[in-house]
Amino acid sequence: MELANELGIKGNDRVKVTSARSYYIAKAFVTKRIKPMTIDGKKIYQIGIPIHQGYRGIQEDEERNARTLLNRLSPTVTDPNAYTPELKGFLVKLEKV
Amino acid sequence: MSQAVLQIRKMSGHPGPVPGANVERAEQVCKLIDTTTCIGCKACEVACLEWNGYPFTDTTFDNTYQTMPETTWKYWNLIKFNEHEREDGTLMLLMRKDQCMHCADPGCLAACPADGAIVQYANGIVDFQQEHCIGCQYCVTGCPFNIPKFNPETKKVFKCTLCSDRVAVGLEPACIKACPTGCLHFGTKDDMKDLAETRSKQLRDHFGFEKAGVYDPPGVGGTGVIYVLHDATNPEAYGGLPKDPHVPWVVRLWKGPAKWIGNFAMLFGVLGVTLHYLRFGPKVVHDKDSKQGEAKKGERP
Repeated sequence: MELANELGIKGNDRVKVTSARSYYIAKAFVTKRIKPMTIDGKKIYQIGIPIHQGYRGIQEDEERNARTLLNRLSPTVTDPNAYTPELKGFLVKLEKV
Repeated sequence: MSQAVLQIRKMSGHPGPVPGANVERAEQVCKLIDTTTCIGCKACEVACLEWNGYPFTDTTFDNTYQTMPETTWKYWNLIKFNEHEREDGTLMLLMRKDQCMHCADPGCLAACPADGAIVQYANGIVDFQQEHCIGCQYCVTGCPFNIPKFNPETKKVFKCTLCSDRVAVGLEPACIKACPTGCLHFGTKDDMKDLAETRSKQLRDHFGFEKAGVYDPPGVGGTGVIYVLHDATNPEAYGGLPKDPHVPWVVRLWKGPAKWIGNFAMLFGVLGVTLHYLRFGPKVVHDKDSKQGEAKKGERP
């Protein structure tokens, strides 16, 4: 909610999420449920994107048939012991398109 | 095979009286929705579509988890989501299954001018008979819950039937059958009210929801669908559930006094004309008028 107000994003707007690896275009769902965190004195915002799609994304660009998958955003890093993928914690840039 | 649908009269090897024998059940049926245990899975929405034979339609996103902003003529059952901030600053994601409330004093039925288009069965279910519907949409005006929806193609109005076809043969409505958490209950009105009171007392005493209560608005004579709410003093937070719903006064005025005034006005009008005829006789054509008439006739070739 706070982040959305800062960036001027309303519900149903198209947003672009960019990480170091790829980008993803989605519809914004502005919610009060995810609150900003304070880490090391800095205010860190958190966003969430639902997963479970096919080999082509169902996001909003290219008529729900996009080639840029959500999974490309996440790093290919695994836990050295159990090889559990580390897919949830990484940095992204959020902007309105 | 057990035939649970039929009533049992005799039972083999059963000590004591047969359960349910000699019982006439013409009681009010009721659906109880416990919003405190709803998880918003929308199984009831899908069950409703499947049982009533409607296809799944495209969803409309409006910045909530709702399938669409409000129910449509072929989507009778919709869970409404609301991110509700409480007074102490904590957040609650409230979910409420929205469908026809099956009022004891239905506004749609009061407003409907078509003979037999809206009926209330002896067990309290309010049902639309589309073959008698004239498509005037007065029921939409009469409903305080915004439930009847118009199909512009067939010019008929549709809404939840409380699965009257299932209830008639002793089954529960499809939504209740599908609910995975058991937050939906179906039974007689008295049983459901008892259950609702027990549950809200439990919420008040053990879960810290001090304002928990039952939503069974008396403004429409009680409803055939009742809710257990975390905060019964603020039902608007649950996707716009009216606090004190009433049949609109326009409908009441129009179907009550205005109807009688209209009838009397018409009666006295006819009576006045008759008396005038008896007292003064038929209308006489004056000379001036008749001359004009002749002149006009003369103009014609």
